[in-house]
Amino acid sequence: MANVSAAANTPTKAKKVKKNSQGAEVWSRLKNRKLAMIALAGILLVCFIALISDIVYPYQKWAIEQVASNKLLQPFKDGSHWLGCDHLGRDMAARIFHGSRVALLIGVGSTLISLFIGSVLACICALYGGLADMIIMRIMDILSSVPGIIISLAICSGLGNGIWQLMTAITISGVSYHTRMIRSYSLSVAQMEYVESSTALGGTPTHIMFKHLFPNIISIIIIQCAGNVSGNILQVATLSFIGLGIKPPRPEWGSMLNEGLTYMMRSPFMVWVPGIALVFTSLMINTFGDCLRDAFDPQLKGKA
Amino acid sequence: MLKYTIKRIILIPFMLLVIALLIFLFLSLSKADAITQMLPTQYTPEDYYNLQHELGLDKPVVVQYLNWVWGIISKGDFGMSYKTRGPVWTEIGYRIPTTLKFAIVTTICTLLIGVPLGVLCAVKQYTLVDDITNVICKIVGSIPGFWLALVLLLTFSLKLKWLPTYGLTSFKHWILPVVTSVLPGSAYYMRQVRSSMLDCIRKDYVRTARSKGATERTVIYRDALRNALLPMITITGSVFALQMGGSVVIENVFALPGVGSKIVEAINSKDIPMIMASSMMLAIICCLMMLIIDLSYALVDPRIKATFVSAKRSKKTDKEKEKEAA
Repeated sequence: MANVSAAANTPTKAKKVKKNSQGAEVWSRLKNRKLAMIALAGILLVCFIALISDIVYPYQKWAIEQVASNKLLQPFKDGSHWLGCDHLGRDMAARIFHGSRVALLIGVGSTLISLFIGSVLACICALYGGLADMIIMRIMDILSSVPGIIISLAICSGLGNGIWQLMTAITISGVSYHTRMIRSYSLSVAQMEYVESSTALGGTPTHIMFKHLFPNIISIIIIQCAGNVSGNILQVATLSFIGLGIKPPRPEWGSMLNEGLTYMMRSPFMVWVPGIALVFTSLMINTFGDCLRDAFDPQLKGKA
Repeated sequence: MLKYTIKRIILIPFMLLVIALLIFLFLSLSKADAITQMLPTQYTPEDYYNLQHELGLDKPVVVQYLNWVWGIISKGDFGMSYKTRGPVWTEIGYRIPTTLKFAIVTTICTLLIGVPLGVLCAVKQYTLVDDITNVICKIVGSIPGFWLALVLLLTFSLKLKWLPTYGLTSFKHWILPVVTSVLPGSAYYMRQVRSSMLDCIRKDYVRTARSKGATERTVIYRDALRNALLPMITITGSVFALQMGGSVVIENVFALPGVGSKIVEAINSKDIPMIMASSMMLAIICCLMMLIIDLSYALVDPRIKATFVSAKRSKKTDKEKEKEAA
């Protein structure tokens, strides 16, 4: 829609002006929103933490080694353990730092894979319709008739604990949702006149898919991508919280919360600290996704 | 339409069989763990093979699966629990109403909060109301259900001692679990309604309606809302599924006697028949719900409905129209 309406509204003179790419325009609009920049800074902070975690807190010494004298050390009591220590005397800050790696890796990785699969399937559905649509949607129906977490649970308990197992589980349970969502949007795009005219002019499905369908649903894909990363991070934490997920000594926010549940009465910080890290990360990603949505809004194009 | 409905209903058992196969295949990967967990710490390979034979796990997976399916069809038998060695059904059957009631209550509450808020925010975009609701929804939507449950428990049950911590015996017991599930759900739903509504408000037909002199109210409720709510129907299905899935965690934290808490318990004790049966129960409920939602989607949207009418029939109607025109 974006390209068509822009082209239709632009007077002939303006066509000579060099057209900015959509990406550049979106970026310039994003730069003007403080909230977007704050969220971006927050996301970069989490990425930065994930990157430097090995330098600041060497993995084995800080995140894994148990120090009996530090058991349930309260936060801000000891200079070197500013977030306190858990029930086994491991530094909370170090575990939070290292946990961010797992969260980001699985969150981003599984989102990208499942979104890619989902959008390709959705476009095939919208363009070919008929039998292809029927088969793909029935498979998606089958996958999505079960809540994603049940499939994840089954996959995780079958494959065992670990990062790749978790990633597989979350990717598979995400595909059906993306396909359904993107399909419902691409169906409406596929019914547009310009798609019809392109077909009439002999445009192949591949041509339509890349020239007309993708440019018009890309904003929806990107917005979903942002929302989904945080959703997946939360799902990783949820699975770990239940006890399926990362192998125990490795720090992960969800399993840290599970440990915190047992010591909730005596040291509530074990519930607060990983939870706040989790909420902060997902809040920043969600906020940025929302700002992206506003920046992508085609009807605002040229006005901002 | 009727044909489509019947087709969909017939499809459901097949869908369930495929899901069951999928879950069965994944779970059978962990059968070695399940067997060793049932044996005492000191065991001989012979013990292992005896137990494997006793449980029927030495047969090929497909045969096991077919046996399992045949057991359900012929006797309504979901198998024996590895842990209690009793029939699985007796432990799950009485838990279903709790989970179902919980999912329905939370879904309805989610819709009741999500739709009006979403419409309000879209209509008053970039005003104070929109901003405040948005900020709250963003924060709530970023909180994982189980952590929200922990925080609410910490504040309202342990600190303030207003509400009970676990169980489902009185109205008070329902408050925390329902609030925990509804808040993130409705934040999600509200965002979807808002964005769908915003898309519609900027459509040409809304502008046309305005320029024709329709009141703002009519434009919003007749033109924008109706179209905006169409994609929401599919999302209602995912909200229901979300609540069913969320029940796994929420039931676990609040120790509710539902199917979800049983799944987690069964997974931790590697009780494969129990995992199978309880996840299939959730799958069956969700399948039926999806059917209802898909049918209503087709019923409401004439564009989608038209695709179900077979090509032959539409040709006929064209011819009839031509005849009428002639």
